[in-house]
Amino acid sequence: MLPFTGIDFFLLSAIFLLSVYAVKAIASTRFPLKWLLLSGSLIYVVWYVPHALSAFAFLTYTYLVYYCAEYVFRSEKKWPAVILLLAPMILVKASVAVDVISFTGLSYITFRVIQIYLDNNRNEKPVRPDDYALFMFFTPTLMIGPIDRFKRFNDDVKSGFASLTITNFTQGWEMVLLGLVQKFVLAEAINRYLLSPLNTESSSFSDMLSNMYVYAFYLYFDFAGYSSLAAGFAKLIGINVPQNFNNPFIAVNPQDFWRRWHASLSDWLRDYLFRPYYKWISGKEKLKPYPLFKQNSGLFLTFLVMGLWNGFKSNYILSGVLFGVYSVVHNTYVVRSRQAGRDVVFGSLNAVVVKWISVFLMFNLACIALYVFSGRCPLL
Amino acid sequence: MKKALIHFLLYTILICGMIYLYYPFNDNPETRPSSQIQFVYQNF
Repeated sequence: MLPFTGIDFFLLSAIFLLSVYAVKAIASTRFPLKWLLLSGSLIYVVWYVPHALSAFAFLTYTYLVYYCAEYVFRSEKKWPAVILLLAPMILVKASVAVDVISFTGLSYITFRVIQIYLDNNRNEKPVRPDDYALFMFFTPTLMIGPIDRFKRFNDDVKSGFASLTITNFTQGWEMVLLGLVQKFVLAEAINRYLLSPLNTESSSFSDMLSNMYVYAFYLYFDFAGYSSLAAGFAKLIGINVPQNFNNPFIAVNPQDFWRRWHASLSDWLRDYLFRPYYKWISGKEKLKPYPLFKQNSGLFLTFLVMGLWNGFKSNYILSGVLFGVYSVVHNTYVVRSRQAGRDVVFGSLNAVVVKWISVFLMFNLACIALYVFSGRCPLL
Repeated sequence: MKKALIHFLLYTILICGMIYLYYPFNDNPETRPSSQIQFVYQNF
């Protein structure tokens, strides 16, 4: 019983929610919210998540790597520990020892592990194992994120029952409602009546076009629905996890698109891949006269890694490459326009017209990249 | 007013959609083609 995949999960969540509010009303001083959330999450993982033993082994392994690298060896270089933390996920993606170390949410948890390690200040006390376990196994975000940040998450947990307010409850319920509509009605209806009957083998232009647009909307409603359910349930129990989606199909450029589509992943990649890379390459004296190359190589690398993270398959890698190319072209256009003091593509065209052309272009480019990502394209 | 209308619309879509898509609530593959609810991103 994975999160949000059946009526049994929703019933269990309702019981847990009632327990949380009952404890708040009766014994909030004796039972901190943190212990309630931790015990609920651990019980859920042990009883309902396939390969729970692998999940606990991963948790122990990564905590040991984090603790030893930061407080025993106190290594100045961060990359050796990052490689060790990434190793289980890489082995799974490369289809090595999948049955032994794979478990639901491994990729998403790996992002959280690396974030804790890279943000850690070794002059402060290490992250407590119970806080670490709660952050990793927090049930609403266990399977597909959104990818939260430890400090923000822990501050919410520390605020305890005070965060269980009427406002949070109302907002949380609205998100759950939206998520239910998106996933269980819209995505299901699109999948059942539009996507499934389509022929994925046909390479005729009209069939490919239908596959491309229908899949883009199916993926959006499916993923945005899950994210909304996860954020909504978390909010009902007082935890504000970041929003992942915000009308991505009205984005005007690739940068805007990634602020609206799977935003927690693009924020993570910006903070822990693009920025360190850009800082590193900016220190290279030979590349000083080429600032555009430094930016563009960082953008391309970021999207390539995003494609690789989805899996070591040609469709995932190619979709990452496509998004990388879009970003490089857009960044070059922005820099060139700034240097020229005018819009080098649209010239003095009306701003409203430019906006709608941009939305149209971005929507279609995103659909093409998502179609490649889907693995439904017969040309690949 | 706008919020109430959005809520009304969402509840209507949810209730009608759930009844249309999932009724009768059983595992008969003919009446429920996508009996196994999955998320596209759950395998990553």
